[in-house]
Amino acid sequence: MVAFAINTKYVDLPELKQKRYLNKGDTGHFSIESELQHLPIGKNKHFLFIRPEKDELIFTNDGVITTSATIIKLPTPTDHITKARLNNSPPPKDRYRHTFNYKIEKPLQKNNYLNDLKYSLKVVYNFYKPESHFSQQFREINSEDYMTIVNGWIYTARTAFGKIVNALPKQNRLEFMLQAMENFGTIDFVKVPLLDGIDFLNDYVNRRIISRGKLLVATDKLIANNLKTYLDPTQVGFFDEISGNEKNIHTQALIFQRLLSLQNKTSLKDYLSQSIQSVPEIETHFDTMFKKETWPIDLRI
Amino acid sequence: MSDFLEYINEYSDLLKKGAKWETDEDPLAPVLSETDAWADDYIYEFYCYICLVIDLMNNYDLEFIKGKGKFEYKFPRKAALKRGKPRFHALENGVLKFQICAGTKINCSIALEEDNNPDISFQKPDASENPNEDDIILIMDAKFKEDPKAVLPKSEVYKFITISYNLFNLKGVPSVPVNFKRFSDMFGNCLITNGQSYTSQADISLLKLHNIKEVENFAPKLKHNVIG
Repeated sequence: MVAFAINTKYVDLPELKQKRYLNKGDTGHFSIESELQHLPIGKNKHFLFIRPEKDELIFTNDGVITTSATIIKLPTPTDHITKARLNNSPPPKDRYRHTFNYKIEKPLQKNNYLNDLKYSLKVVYNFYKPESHFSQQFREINSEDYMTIVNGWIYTARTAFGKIVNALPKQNRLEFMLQAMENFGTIDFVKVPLLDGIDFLNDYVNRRIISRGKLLVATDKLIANNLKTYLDPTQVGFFDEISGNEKNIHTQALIFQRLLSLQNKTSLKDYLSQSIQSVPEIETHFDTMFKKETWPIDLRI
Repeated sequence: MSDFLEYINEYSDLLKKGAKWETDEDPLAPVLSETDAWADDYIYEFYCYICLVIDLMNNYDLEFIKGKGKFEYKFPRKAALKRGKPRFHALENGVLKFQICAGTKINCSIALEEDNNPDISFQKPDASENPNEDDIILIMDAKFKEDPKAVLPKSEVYKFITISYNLFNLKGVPSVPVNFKRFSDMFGNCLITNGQSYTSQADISLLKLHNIKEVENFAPKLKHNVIG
């Protein structure tokens, strides 16, 4: 079953401006303007409303179209016609307004942020700007992605891998991939299970980054506990005359302190296996769905 | 499930911030070519420097010499001219006994390559702002290993010998005593690592001959071990 995502940034829906979600059973209408005389959206089709909030997109509702579209041809503004004639360009195309009546089936309140769902959706491959896949009035959503969004399912392994690897600076992402190629003896990561990839990634992060973070935390503590009568512990760091780059130990140590206490409470590995074990059938469903997909790492930016 | 999302979102958010220096966006763990690998130990070098300085507070009165301008509390990331950089002075009864410098360029009679300057140098009380090898009491170099089980390579030990024994002529007992407390066994020219030493305790003749020591397991929460 194909459904549609309707982005309320481009499709006016005053009802959704006042509240976070529409309620089950709510009815209303929305309009899409297009050069197409016929749209693939029709009676009984399901749709998902998607709403921008700051830099995020949120899926708010699942609904169904209750009537066929009412289509009216929009008058072409005379100045557009005149302008085209003056520029010697073809006359402007006709535009149509398609109005649909809808009924809300369900508000989506669980795991409904695109940033949380992005590694569980086949439609998303731009992980730094997942909203780019929805930057239009409407787009088709395949039935698998539709089920994922409506149920708020998360592909735990892929989400963990993607969120961690794409949090690394580009240099480190590239280095990680080179080391992974050597370690797994392949450049085709489709065949390497994500969980093996996560173990290797976790090791990379601990070895390359956390090891240095621990030194910063230790140094910051030593300075704060022993040297505060001599210098300002919040200002100690490194400076490079040539590049003008300035590094502050205290602020960086604070970040690692939080990261280490998070790791000490529960390790990533434990969290991951607990989470997978709580809904094993969903993880298996995703394993099959993403069988032909490689690791979700973005090496472009 | 939402617990997991909360965890992974917080984890990846902190990792993203931590993996780049907040102030200048440099990667914390830069990917280095063979030629610039020497610049990557500065976090560990500074950790060692701070540990040594704090230990000296047991036996000396310390004085912090502020750097100039941006260097007020900031230490050079790689070897730099001594003038205008921060350092500590160790005093006894109000008398300056030695200077403790991090990443100072030494104006050696045989011109040094950039990476031949010592990470940490203990300099005589009257050492100038442009010190040469005669101003040096003892030197220490710090080598960070991402894998604490990794062994210092032979080349590092030989390089340290070249710098300390041959270039700086640091032979025999250091000209000025430096009284550490916890690190009293580190009075000498030390090649420090958080990993493992190259030399085994059973055969320290090469180290003795060249007046250097290797210090292994020098890391937070570990007990260091001196060889040589």
